Amino acid sequence: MNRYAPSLAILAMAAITAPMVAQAQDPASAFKQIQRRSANGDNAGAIKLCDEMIKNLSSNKSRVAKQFSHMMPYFYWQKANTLSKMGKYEEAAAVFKSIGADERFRSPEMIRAARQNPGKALDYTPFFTAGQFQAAYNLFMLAAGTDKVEGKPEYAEKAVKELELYYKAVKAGKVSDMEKKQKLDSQVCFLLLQAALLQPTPDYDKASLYLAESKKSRSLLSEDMVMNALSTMSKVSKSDPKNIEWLGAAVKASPENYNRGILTMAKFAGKFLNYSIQAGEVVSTALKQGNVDLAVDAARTVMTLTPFISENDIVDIVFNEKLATIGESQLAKVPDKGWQLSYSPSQLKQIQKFYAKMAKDNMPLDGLSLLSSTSVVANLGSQRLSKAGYQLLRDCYPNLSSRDKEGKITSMSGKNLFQLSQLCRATGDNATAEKLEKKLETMGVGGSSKDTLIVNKMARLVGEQNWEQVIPAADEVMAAFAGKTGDSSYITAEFCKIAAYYKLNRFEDLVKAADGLLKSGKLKGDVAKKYEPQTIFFAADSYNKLGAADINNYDKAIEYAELYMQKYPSIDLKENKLAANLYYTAIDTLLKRRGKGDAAANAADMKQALGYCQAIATNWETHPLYPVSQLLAGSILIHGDDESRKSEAITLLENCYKSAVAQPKGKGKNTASNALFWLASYGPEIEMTGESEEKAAKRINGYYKAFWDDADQVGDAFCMQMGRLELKRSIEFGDKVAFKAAADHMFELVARESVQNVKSGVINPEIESAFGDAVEMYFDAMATLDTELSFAQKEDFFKNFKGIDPQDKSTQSIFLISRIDMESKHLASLSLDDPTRNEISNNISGAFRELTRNFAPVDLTSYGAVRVGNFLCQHVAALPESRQGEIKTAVAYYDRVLNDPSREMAADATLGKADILALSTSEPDIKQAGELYATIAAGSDRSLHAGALKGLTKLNMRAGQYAEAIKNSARFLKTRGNKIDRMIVMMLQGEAYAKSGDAKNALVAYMNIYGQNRGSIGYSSPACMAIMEIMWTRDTPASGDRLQGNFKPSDRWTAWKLGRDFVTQIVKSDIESKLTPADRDKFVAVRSAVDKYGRDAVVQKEEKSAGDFTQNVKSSN
Amino acid sequence: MNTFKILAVAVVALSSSALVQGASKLEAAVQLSKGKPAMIVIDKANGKGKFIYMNRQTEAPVEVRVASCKTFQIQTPADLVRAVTAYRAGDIKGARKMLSSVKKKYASFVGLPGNPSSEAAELELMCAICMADWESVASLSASYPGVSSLNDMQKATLEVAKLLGKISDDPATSDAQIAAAKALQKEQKANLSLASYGMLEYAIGRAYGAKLPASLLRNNRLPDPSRADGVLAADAYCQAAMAQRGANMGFTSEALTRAAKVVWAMPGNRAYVEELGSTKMDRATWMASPADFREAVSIAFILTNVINPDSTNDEMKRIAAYYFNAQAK
Repeated sequence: MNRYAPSLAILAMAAITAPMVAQAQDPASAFKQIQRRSANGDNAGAIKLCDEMIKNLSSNKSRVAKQFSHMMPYFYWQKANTLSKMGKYEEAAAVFKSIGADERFRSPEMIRAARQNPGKALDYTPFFTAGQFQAAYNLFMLAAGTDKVEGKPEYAEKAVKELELYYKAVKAGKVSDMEKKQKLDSQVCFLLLQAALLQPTPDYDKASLYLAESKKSRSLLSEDMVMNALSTMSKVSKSDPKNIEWLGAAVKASPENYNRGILTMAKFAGKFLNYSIQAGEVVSTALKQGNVDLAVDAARTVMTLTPFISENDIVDIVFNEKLATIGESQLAKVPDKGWQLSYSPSQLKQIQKFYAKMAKDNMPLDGLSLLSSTSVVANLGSQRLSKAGYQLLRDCYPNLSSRDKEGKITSMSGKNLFQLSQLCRATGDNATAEKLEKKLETMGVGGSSKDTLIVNKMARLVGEQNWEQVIPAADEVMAAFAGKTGDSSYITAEFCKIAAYYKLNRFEDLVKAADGLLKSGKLKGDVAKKYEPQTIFFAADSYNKLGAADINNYDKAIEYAELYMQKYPSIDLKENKLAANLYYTAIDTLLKRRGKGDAAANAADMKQALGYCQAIATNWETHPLYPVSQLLAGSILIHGDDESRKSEAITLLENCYKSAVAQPKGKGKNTASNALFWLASYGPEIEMTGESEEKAAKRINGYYKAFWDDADQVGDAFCMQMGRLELKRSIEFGDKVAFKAAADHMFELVARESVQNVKSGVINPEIESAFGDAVEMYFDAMATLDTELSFAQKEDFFKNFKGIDPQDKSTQSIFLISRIDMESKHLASLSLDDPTRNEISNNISGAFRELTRNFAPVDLTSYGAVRVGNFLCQHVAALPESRQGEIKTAVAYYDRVLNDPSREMAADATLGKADILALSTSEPDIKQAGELYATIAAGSDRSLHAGALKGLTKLNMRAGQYAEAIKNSARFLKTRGNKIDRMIVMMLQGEAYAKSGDAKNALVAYMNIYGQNRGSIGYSSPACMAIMEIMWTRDTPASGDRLQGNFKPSDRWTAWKLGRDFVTQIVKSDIESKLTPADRDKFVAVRSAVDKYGRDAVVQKEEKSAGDFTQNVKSSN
Repeated sequence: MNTFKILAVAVVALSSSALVQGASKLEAAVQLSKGKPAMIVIDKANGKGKFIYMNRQTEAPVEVRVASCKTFQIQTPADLVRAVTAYRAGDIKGARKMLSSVKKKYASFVGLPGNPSSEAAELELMCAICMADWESVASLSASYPGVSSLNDMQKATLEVAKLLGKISDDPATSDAQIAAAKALQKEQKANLSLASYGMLEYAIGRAYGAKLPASLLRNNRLPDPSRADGVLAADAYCQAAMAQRGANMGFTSEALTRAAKVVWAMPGNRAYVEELGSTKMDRATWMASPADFREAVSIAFILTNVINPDSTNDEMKRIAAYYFNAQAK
C-alpha cells in the first residue's frame, strides 16, 4: 500500500473545505464520495468519478468548473492514488508524472490554491515535487512487486532514475514544506538502494552509495517500508544469492529501524526466520563453491536477522503483560505516540495465538533460529560453536520440529542429537558422544544419520575392545551398506569383523572372512594400505592356529605370510608395523608344520624358519622379537638332527638370554627364562668344542644361577619346571645336601606361586604338573638319598606343607589331587588282601568328598575339575538310581572346564559330561549325552573316540537300539580302547546280537571275550554264562557218529562242558581266592549253572556216551 | 468521528503542551472501568500499581488502580525513545548514559506497567553486560528498581546479572562460582531466557578460565594439565555466544574472543604455528593441523568476519588469517 499518497489528500481536504459549495456534484462532495468509494473498495467507481470530475473541470465552460478548476490536480492525484492501491503501478506512475508535466497546474491561481496556509506563499508545490516522488515510488513498486503481485525488475532502472531526480530535489531543499517535515531522505535512499539491487543487472555501486546515504539520517522508517524492503531484498537474493549480503547490510545499516521491540517484531518473526534460513542456505552453498566472501556476507545476514526473532517465552510474557493492560480496551488501536505506534489488542491476540500454535507444534521460532545460526557456525568450521548450539538445542528445545520440503512437520530432535554426538566426538568428548549415540540407537534415527551412527557404534565398540559386540555391529553396517559393498564403511566393517574374530579366537570364521575380503578385489589404493596388511597378517596367524585341527592349514598360513612379505617388503616398522610379527608367525607355523611328517620337508621348513629368524635378527635388532627369534633359532637347532650345529644353538640361546634381559622394564624376562631353562635342560647333553667337563658343569650351573638371578619372577612360566629340573639334577648327582636344598627351593616356589595365584587371580598352570612330579621325585629320592618316608609321613608332608595361601583354593586342590594320586598309586601297589586297602580307599574317597564340599568348580584346575567329575561319575555309576542328585554336581565340574577359554582338558570334560549324563534317568539328559558322544566320536581327537563309542553303545542298549549298538560297538573295536573297555563293549555287542536274534554272532562276541580274557573273571564269567545260556536255549541235539568222526555234540552238553571246564580251570588256578565280591558272584553264577546243567538227563547221557566212547577208544588202543 | 480520532485530537492538543516538558510526568492512554478512552497526564504513582492524575474537568487529583483500567498505555517519552533507539542502533555507550538518566527521571513511576524507568533500568543493565563492566553490573543489579513488580523471567535475569557482577578471575572462587551458576541454571530453568542461560555459561567459562595459568594463557602456552579446564572454559564461552543468537553483540564478541583465545593457547598450538611459519594454508595443511588450531582459527574467523567485522582486535584478526574453507569442492 502506498503510504505516502494520502498525505496530499489531507491537503486536498483543506483546499476543498475552504470554498465549500453545497451541491450534488460539486467537487467537494465528489471528493468525499471518491474517498468513500475508495474506502469501500469500489476503486473502479472512484476512478470513474475522478475521470468525470477531471472532465468537468477541464471543460472550463461552467462557472463551477472555473471556480473549482484548481482542484483538478487533486482528482488526478486521487485517481493515481486509487490506481496505485489497485496495484496498477505503471498507470499510477504515469498519472502522478502527468500532474507535474501539466502546464495548466502551474497557473498562478492553481499555485495559490495549493497553499496550505493562504497567508504564506509556497516555495514548491507538493503536486509537482511529491508527485515526482509518487511517480518514482510507483515505478519502484512495479519493479519490486508485492506479496500478491509479481515484480518487474526491468522497471527498476526507470524507478532509480525517477527516485534520483526526487532525491536530488530533496537534497537541494527543492521540495514542499510538507515533504521536508516528513524527512524523506533516508527513506528515498532506502528505496534507491533496493531499486539499484532490483535491476536485472544490479548496480552494486549505487546500492552501496545509497546504503551509506541512508545511514546519514537516523530517522525511523515506517514498519511497512522496512518489511517491504526486506521482502524486496529477499527476492533479490533468491534471484542471485550474491545479493544476500544486502539483506544483512541494510538491516545492519540501521538496526533500530528493524528492531522495533518485541510487540512489533513478533509480527514479522516468521519473515525474519525465513530470510535467515534462506541466508543460511547461501552460506552452505557458497562455502562449497569456494566463495568465502559470499558465505561470510550471508552468515552476517543470518546473525543480523536472528536476534529479531524474540524468544517464545519472552513473547508470551510481554504479550500477556500488554494484553493485561489494553486487552479490554474499546480502542481498536491503542496509541503509543512516543514510538508512533498503535497496538491492536485483536492483532496481539492473533500473534499470540500464532506463537502458541508454533510452540504446540514444537516449532518455536527462536528454536528454529538457533538451529539456523548453529548450522551457519558449523558450516564455517567451528565444531565447538556448533556443538554449543546443538547442546543448547538439546537443553532448551529438546522436541524441536520443523517443516520439511513437503511442508510436513518432522521432528529434529534425533537429527540434532545426532549432530551433537558427532560434534562431541569431533571435539574429543567421547564419553558424552558415546552416551548420546547409545541414546540415539534406541531412538531409531534414519537416513545417513543412521548409517553414521551404526558406523560410529561399531567404531566405539572397537575402541572399547568389546569384540563380542563388534561382530553384530559390523553386520549391521554391512547390512546398511549392502548395496555398496565397495564403500569404505562396508570394507571397514568387514575388517572390524575380521579383527573381532581374531581377538575372540574365532579363527575358522576369520579365515573365511579374510579369504573373502582379500580375494574380493576391493582392497585397492588407500583402503588396501589401511586394511590389507592386517588382514593378511590375521589370516596367516589364524591359519597357523587352525593347523592343530588340520595340518594343511599351516600351508595356507605360510602362503599368506609369503604374500605379505612379497606385497609389503619394507623393513621400516613405521610404515610396515606388522612386519616383525608376521615373520614370527611364519616361524611359529613352520615349527608346527615340520614338513607334515616328511623328513625332507621338515628339514626344508626348519631351514626356512631359521632364515626368518635370521631376518628378524638382521632387520630388527632392537625389536622385542629379536630375543624371541634367537630363542626359536636355538630351539630349531637343538631339536634338529644336525649334531654339528647344536653348539650353535647354545650360542643362540645364550644370545637370547642376554638380549632378553636387556629389554627395558624387564619385558624380556619370560623369554630369558625360557632360554635358560632350555640351556639348563639341553646344555649338559651338548658338547662344546674344546670345553672341559668341569667348565661345562660350571657353565650349566651358571644357567641355573642366571635363571634365579636374572630371569625368575613370580608367575614365571618356567620357574616350576626349572625348580623340578634342579631337583632332578641334584638327585642324579646323588648329592644329599644339594637335593635337600633343591627340594626346599622347589617347595618354596610352590608356596610363592600359590600366594601369587591369590594376588593376581591368575593360576600358574605349571604348579599342577611340576608339583606332582616334584613330590614323586622327592618321595623317591628320600628313599635313596635319605630315609624312606612312611605312608603316614607322606600324608604329613601334605598336611604340614607350609606357605600355601589358605585362600589359594587352586593350589590347595592341586595338593589334594596330588595326595589322591599318591594314595591311589599306593593302593594299586597293595595286594587285594592287604588290610590297609579299605582305609586308603576311604581316604581317597574322603579327599574327593572334600574337593566337592569345600571347592567350587572354579577353584579347581581343569585337570582337577575333570578328576572330580570322573570321581563323581564312578560314584554315581555304582548306584545310579539312588545317586541321580549328584549328576548335576558332576556336570558343574565338567562345565567349568568346558567354559574355560583355554579349552584345556575340554575333550576329556565333554566325554566325562556325556558319561555322567548317560547315567541319568532324565530323557533330556540322556539325549544330551548321546549328542555329546556323537560329537566326540566325529571329532578330531581320536584318543576320545573309544570312550564316546562305548558310551553310545551303552545308550543304544538302554534304548533297545540293538542294530545301532552293534554298529557302534564295531566302530569301537576298531579303536585303541583299553582292555577293560574292550571287554565291556564286546559284552554289549554280544548282548546286542543276542537280543536281535543273531545267536551266531552273539556267540562269536562272547567267545572272543571268553577266549581272550579268561583270567578277568568279572568279564569271562558273564561271557561264559552268556554262551552257556544261548546254547542251552538253542538246544541243537547231537548229530553224526563218533566212530565216523562226524559227531557233533548237543548244544546242552557243550554249554555244560564249557562251564565245567571254566570252573575247573579257575578253581585250579587259585584265582578264586583273590576274587572281588562282585567277581565272585559272577563266578558262582557260572558254577551254579554248571551244576544245574549237569543234572540234566540229556547232558548226563551224552557225557556218559562221550566217556564210554573215550574209554572204548582207549581200550581199543 | 470515531473514538480514535477523538483520542488523536486530544493527543494533538496535549502533545506540544508544557504538561510533560521537563517535568517528570507521563502521558498515558487510559480507559477507566467506567468511561471512554482518553489521554491523561499521570502526575505520580505510588509504586503499588496506582497512579494519580488531575481530572481536568473537576481539577481534582484522582487516584486510580491500573488493574481497574480497561486500557493503560504509557506514552513512551521521547528521551526513552532516543535512548532505546541508540541502544538498538548499537550505540551501547551513548544509550547507557541516556538510559541511566531516563531511569532516574521516571523513578517515581516504577510499579506502573510499561513505565520508562523500569524499561531503562533493564536496558542499562544489559548495556553494562554488553560492555563487560562487571563492577557496574554488580552495582546496577544491587540497586535495581521495582524488583517486586518484575516478572519471573526478569527476576531470573536479575539473578544472572548479580552472578555476573561477581566475576573476579580469582581461581580461589572459581569452583564456588561454577557451582552457583550451575545451581541457578538448574533452579531457574523455567524462568531463564536462552540469552540469560548463555550469560551464566559465560560466568562458568570465566571461572574455568580463572583456573588457567594467566601468564601461560597470555603467551599461548597452556600446559597439558590445563587442557581440561581450557576445554570447559572454551565450551562454556561458546555456549554463551550461541545462546545470544546474534543479539547482544558486545557480549557475544567478548565470549567469542575469550573462547578463541583459550583454544589458541591450547598445548601444541604454539609449536605448530612456529613450525608452520609462513607456509601458505592449503587443504592438506589445514586438514593435518591440530584440531585446537583449526578450532581457534574458525572461532576467530567467525568473530572478526561475521559477528564483529569492525573488530579492532589484532590478535583475533591474526589468528583468523589462518582460516581455510575446507568445504570447497
